[in-house]
Formats: sequence, structure tokens, C-alpha cells
Amino acid sequence: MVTLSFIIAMFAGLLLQYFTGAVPGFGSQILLLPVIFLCGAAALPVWSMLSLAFVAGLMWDCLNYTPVEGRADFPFGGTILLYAGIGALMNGLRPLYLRGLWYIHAVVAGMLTSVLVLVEFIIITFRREPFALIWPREIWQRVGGSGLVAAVIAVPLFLILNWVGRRAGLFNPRHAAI
Amino acid sequence: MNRRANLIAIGVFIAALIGVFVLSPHNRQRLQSAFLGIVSPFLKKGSEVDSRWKSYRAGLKKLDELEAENQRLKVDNDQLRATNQALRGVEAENIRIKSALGYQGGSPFTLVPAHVIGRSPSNWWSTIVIDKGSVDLVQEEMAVVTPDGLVGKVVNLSEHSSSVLLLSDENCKVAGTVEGTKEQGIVRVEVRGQRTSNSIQPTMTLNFLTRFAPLRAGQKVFTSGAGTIYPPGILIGQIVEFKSRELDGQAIIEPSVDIAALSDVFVITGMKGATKSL
Repeated sequence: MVTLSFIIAMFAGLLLQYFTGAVPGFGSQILLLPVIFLCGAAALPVWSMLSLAFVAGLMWDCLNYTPVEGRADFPFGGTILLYAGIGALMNGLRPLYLRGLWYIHAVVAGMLTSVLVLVEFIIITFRREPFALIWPREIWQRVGGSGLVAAVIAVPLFLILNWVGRRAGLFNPRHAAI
Repeated sequence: MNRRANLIAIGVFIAALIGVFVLSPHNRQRLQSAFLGIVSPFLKKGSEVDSRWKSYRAGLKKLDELEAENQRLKVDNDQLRATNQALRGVEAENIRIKSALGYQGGSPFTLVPAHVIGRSPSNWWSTIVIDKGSVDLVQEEMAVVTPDGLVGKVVNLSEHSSSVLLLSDENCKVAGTVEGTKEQGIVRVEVRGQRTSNSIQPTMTLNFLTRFAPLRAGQKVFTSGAGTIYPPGILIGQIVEFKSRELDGQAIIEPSVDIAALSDVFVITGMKGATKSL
């Protein structure tokens, strides 16, 4: 039930992203899908995290996989693997979340969102222009900007998650009872 | 027990992942098309709400301006100005629609008008979603234009919506020619080490020109028609600068279309009078 709620929230986040646009001054996009996914990865057990990674990655690839002349920057399904990677890192910190230290995860959610954007950039660059990996300020702004916004968004998301979890009796982060 | 459940979950995940990786292009396309079909009604609604919100905010700005004027002018004068302002808005809308219809009527191409219902939230890819799909005779690889010039091409398709790869994406390359010359080359977005995104109005380059081509700023660049996607004669942009390089020449081009502010576009589905679509 909780996993399904996260899947619906991720779908809503994916749609909302189409209208949020870029962070003024940074040029980086506001990414809601990874933040919601990372909240789930922090709060839920491994099997749920993997389900969320699969759905999030597949949804993203369905909308963004664009082969040109039969060649794409990413293999279809590659984003699932990326989400599973950052989800595994977040899930490793789950014991801290269950002890009520959610604010650590808000910061980590920002960092991992930046990692996601950075890994995408590196893979794309190697695919398009091998050995032409340079790092102008705009790249760092976009990588850092997305992470910064993700960390800010993660704070209310974790607060809502904790509140709903307690009210619905689904889990209590302080008592490790998911 | 917990460890065992985790191992089973990982096993199922890997199996599902392999299943996705080995999807045939046909099945992958069907999956993408089905998901785009699920998403597009939400994007259409979202686009409507977004438009209403933007016009509401624009209205608030006008109210602010009117308030400032209120301090200087009499009340009845203000009312007249407000009415006038509202009529100007209608007139501007009228002109925009007439211009679009005029373009559609006067164009040598068969055009399907479409509305932009979403912009890709990706940091590194540049695509938009439009509200026309296969039932509107749109097909993959069809060119997308506005009255100002070339926008990109259709890459993914569902029944009622399509994804369009924008000219500002590095993967979108177009054969171009310079007006009044025989110079031809490949137009693509200028990368300068950074990847492009939807939020940036790009600079384009026309590459592989003659090293000392007599090109000057202000000359227009059109599609040359080489290849099967873009018909010849569609405006891409105009030359800002020409550089003579070691082996060839390169022109820097300012695109004619404001990629960051697209709202209405046209899909070229064929030539007028032609029996077969492009």
C-alpha cells in the first residue's frame, strides 16, 4: 500500500516536473521524481526501494529515451539501474531514518540527486564526444542547482511522510516499525 | 528470513531489468507510445492550468500598472484605459491566430497545428510534448516548424500526442544552406563543453563550409533538403559570425525560433498537392 502510494506520488512528481521549469539563475531543472523516490528509498525496505527504482527509471526512460538514427545516449532501462544505485545508497542509511534522523536524509537526497544528474552528464558526454569531458561553470550550476533544490524539497516531503506515516499507523520512524 | 527476502527481491529486480534491456525496438516503441498515451491527458490538463495561471499572473501585473496610473489619472479615464487594454489583448490574440492561419494557408506544406503541452524536465535533453499524434496523421521523423522557422522533428508518438526533439538538442542535426550562395553544411547546436537543455536559447553552428566562404553576418540559413526529414527552404536562423578554421569554415547562427518560449507549432505532414506524405 505504501509502495503503491509512492508510485502514485512519483507519477504525479514526473508530471509536475514538466511545468516547474528551471531554477532561476542556475539553469538546472527542478527534479521531483528522484526526490520522491529517494524519500521512499530512505523509508521503505529493500524490495520496495527496488520496485520504486524500477518504476521511476522505466517511467523516465519511456518519456526521455530518444534514439536518433538508431542510436541513443542511454540504453533503454539504463535509468532504472541509476535509480537502483542511488536508492541502494539511500536505503543503506535507513537505520538512521528509523531513528528519526530524517534531516540527514534530506541533505543526502540533494547530494544523490546531484550525483544522478552528474552521472547522466558523464555518460552522455562519453557517448557523444569521447574524451571531451570538460567542466565549465554551467555544468556545476546545473548539477548543483538540481541537488540544492532537491534537498530543499526533501525537507517538507520527509515531514509529510513522517506525519502521514504516524497518523495512518503505517510506521513510526522512531520505532522502526515499517 | 529478511536476508532471504532481500535476495529474492534483488533476483526479481535483475530479471525484470534484463527483460527491459532485451526489449526489441518494436516493443520498446509500443511501451513508450502507451506510456506517452497515459501521460498526455494529464499534460494537456496541466498545460491548461499552467496557461490560466500565467494569464492570471499577467493580469495581476496589469492591475499593478493600472493602480500606478490611478494615482495620476481620473477614475473614468482609467476605466477607458482598462477597456482599451483588454481590447488590445484580444487584438493581439486575433493577430497571432490570423498569422498562424495565414502561415498554414500560405505554406507550401500540409501542416497540422499543435499546441505544446509539456517541456522535458531533463537537464541534458531538449524535447517538448505536443497535443497531436498518430490519429492526426503525425508520424515519427516529421519536421516541426513555426511561422518563424524550424523547431525540430517528431521522435516519439502516441495516438493523441508526440515528443519533438528540438533543434537545441545536440542529437538534432540538420543539413543547411546559406541564402544567395552554394554553401552547404550541417547545422547543430554549439556545445562549448556544456550540454544543452530546454531552459537555454542555444547558439547554433553551420559546419563544414568552404574555408574562405564569402559569408557575412545577417545572411539567412535554410534547410537544404538533403536527407529525408526536413524539406528544403525552411528558415533555421541567421549568421552572426563566420570563422575560417584550419580545414573548413564555420558559421555561428542565431536560431530564428525562440526555443525557450514555444507554445504553438506546426507538424509538416506532407506537401500540398502531393499524394504521399513526406
